[in-house]
Amino acid sequence: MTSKSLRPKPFAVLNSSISILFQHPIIFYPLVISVFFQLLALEIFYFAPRPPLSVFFAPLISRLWGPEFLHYPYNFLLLPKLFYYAQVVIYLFAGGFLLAVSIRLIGAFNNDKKMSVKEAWKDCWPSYIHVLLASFLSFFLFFAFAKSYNNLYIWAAKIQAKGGVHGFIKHAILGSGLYVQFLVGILITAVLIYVIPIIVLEKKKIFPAIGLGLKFFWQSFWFTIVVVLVPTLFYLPVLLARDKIPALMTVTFPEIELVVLVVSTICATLVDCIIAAAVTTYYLYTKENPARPSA
Amino acid sequence: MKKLIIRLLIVLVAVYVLLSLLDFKGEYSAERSLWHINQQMNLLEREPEAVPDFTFEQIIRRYRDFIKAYSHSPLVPQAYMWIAKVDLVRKNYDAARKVYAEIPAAFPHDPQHIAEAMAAIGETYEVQKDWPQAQEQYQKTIRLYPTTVVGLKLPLYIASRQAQNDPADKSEAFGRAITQYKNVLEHSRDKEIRTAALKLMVSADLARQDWPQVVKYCREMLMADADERSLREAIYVINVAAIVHMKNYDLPVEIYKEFMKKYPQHPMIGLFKGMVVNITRLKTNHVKITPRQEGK
Repeated sequence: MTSKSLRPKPFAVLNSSISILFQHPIIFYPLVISVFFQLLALEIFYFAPRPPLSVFFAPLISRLWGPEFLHYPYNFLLLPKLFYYAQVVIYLFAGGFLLAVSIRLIGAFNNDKKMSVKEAWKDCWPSYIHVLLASFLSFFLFFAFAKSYNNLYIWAAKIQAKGGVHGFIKHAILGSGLYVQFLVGILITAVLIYVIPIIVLEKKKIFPAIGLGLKFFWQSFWFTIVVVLVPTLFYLPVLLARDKIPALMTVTFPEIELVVLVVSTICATLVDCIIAAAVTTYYLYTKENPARPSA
Repeated sequence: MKKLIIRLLIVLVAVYVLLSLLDFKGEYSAERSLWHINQQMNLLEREPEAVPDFTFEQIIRRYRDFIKAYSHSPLVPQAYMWIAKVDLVRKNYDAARKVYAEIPAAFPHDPQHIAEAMAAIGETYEVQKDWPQAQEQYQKTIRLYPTTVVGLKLPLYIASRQAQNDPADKSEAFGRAITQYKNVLEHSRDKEIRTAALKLMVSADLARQDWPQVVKYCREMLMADADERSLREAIYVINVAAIVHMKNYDLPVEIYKEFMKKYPQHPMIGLFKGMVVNITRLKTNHVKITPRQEGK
């Protein structure tokens, strides 16, 4: 048997990762806390226009976005934006680290070792700053892309032509925004996906972890892309629903937005968890069988 | 794990319940409640002929319940207006007028809503094609509440309706509106009301294309240092009226210089300086702007 045929298949790794998650639900523990913080933030922003929270939030919202967003149902137009800001802060300062704790647990269970959340937490804590920097890097890349794409979108919207090459470019950019962002999001996630596992499992600092992570990603490019893409595809309908929130609100009721945001938060966390489990499993497997990625 | 999820869920539910209770029957719930009733009303409005009478009665009951439940809400006058609208939709004009008539009694110290209700009564007569009765109601509103939002808008509205009915009377009709606004300016010291009156006078003179008067009232707006939006509107109208229609480049420059002299520290001073430079350049270069080019 050649080394190539021994290479683990993406679906097999995803399958075994899901099995590990169900065998050891404790892995979800840190991520449940992350979801909790996000939903708590959502709740706070939902109640922001009303007393007693309005005492603090009303002047802020009124000054930054306008007083109309303090009233029903316009507050629901602002809610996703506020929630997004909260998610970014939670992801940067807590979410990335909690994911790292889960990865540490996955690593331990992959090696048939027992580990509690407390032990994993203690083990990961010295690497907090490196995980934080990795989270910042990941966010920065997403942000830079989103900003650039937004500029491109504005440029395309200004194109006057309705037909021809210019018209085609205009419609391609304006019509494919969500899908391009989705695919580039997958690529950015995939590029940096091994950085946190390397920080946590190898106790590496941020820069060596980035170097090793990029090398590992390059060696297993298609595997990583598939492992990130497949679970994320399940998130696509939720992403589409998030994109169509204003239309959904019109045909149903404004509160539907809360449902979409809650479901999207839970789905995104589940997807992150499955991807983390798959790449950690693959990373550990490859480490034990060094010939794999270069096969 | 299950315990953790349950505990965190309890925290989330407890926070939700607590925050809901702290604003129980508050302004936000009033807004939500009224919005949902209005949504139902909007649906009924699409095809009123297909809606059975009891559905209209039901929605009126919902509005009445809202008024009872949120009696201290500032949205209550709106609820009355919506009840009247239900009657208007089913062409029950007398019932609508009765509801409008409830508003002055319910809000005796709220001139804005009283004026709105009085004008709405006039509208019902208009819908019934009874213009004399409608006009009488409008004039009554102007007489009693000349400085309310509705009271200010009505003279111009009446003038445009009269001009529509009798084009020969156009200039006279808008002239009458201007006289009423001059009356407001004489009696009111409130900056917002004065700015609103001046704006309406500008609109009236724009309608009868009396450009020197348009510039005159806009100049008054500038010198009264109105809000930024009104100042920008006044600048635009002065430029169009003076440069495009009167072919007078010196007049706006003179007005802007006067403004700069009066308010040297004004935050919009840069805009005025730029205007003076640009208009002077237009004059020096003998650029003629015709009405067709004005929007470019």
